[in-house]
Amino acid sequence: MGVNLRGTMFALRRFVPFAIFWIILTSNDPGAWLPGLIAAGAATALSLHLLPASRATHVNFRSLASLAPGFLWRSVLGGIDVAWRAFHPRTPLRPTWIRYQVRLPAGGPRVSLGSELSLMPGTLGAGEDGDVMYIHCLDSNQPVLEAIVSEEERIARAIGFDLGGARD
Amino acid sequence: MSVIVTATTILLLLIGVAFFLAGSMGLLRFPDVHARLHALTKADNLGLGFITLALLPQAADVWIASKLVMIWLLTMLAAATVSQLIARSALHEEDVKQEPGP
Amino acid sequence: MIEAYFFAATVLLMTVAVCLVRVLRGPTRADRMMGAQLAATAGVAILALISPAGSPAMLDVALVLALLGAFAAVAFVKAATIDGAGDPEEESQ
Repeated sequence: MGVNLRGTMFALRRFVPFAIFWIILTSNDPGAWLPGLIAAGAATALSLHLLPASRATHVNFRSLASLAPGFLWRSVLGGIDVAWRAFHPRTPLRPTWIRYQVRLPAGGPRVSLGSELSLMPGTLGAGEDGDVMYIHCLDSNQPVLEAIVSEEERIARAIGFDLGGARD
Repeated sequence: MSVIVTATTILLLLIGVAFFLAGSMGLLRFPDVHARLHALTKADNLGLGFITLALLPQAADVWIASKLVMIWLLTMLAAATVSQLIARSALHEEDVKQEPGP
Repeated sequence: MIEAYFFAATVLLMTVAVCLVRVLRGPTRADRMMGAQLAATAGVAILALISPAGSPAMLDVALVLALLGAFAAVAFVKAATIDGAGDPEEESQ
């Protein structure tokens, strides 16, 4: 019974965002509520099929929300950084690759690390091989490694994951 | 008051358009695939973000406004994911794995 | 204000023209795909900009364009690489 309740709560956490999405899509037209119920239900079923509760990472929404402002700010910095390089007459780039030993668990957390790095100044996630993540850097003079480490630590805190001992 | 709104809207529009221009300049001028991908991913979505902000005061109601914000969030999510996929698919052309790490 | 939106949309149309140059030149398939991606994002922005003057349904068109852009890129990555190097569901060689 307890397991059942937890499963229902899990499905509900998927269903509510889909329902909100539908309501915005239809400008909250009451005539669209019934198809919306069916559509959001079907979307929830599909999402549970593609990523079952057992494989999903449990995210603390409050700490995730606390990440958002800093992340938005860094993505603005990332845009400004790449914009001045694009407009600069000599396009100042010193591209380099970093092979980063990821400590986050595979799946969602690593994908979000890659996504966030792709929007931050000077870094771009380019997939992973086992525990090694390939990161492309625009300028080897930028302190990118520190930025990657602190981004990984922020995500680890948001999902309540212990990164463990020192990086090798 | 409306002068301030108008001025802010025009400023936001200019910033948004500038980021789009930067994105296409980068796409045109940067030397290799991955550098161009930086320009595409970062500049474009910021441009769309500022244009969304500029459109918000003109939105007819709160639903139109939330739809605008939703389009931006979905585009940003898609771009961040897609850029990783394209970056990875372009990897084999550059033989990164032979290069020494830092 | 509508005039300002139209002006911005016109400039964005020019950036689409610029990124079509990248589609034309390549050299890699990923480059061409990126040009198409930028055209899709700019198209979303253009549709959003002309929606206050036109119909709110243009925002739905913008949303569909955004979705198509993402699907096109995923399909490209799935199909274009022979060894599945861009496909996260397979290990790259």
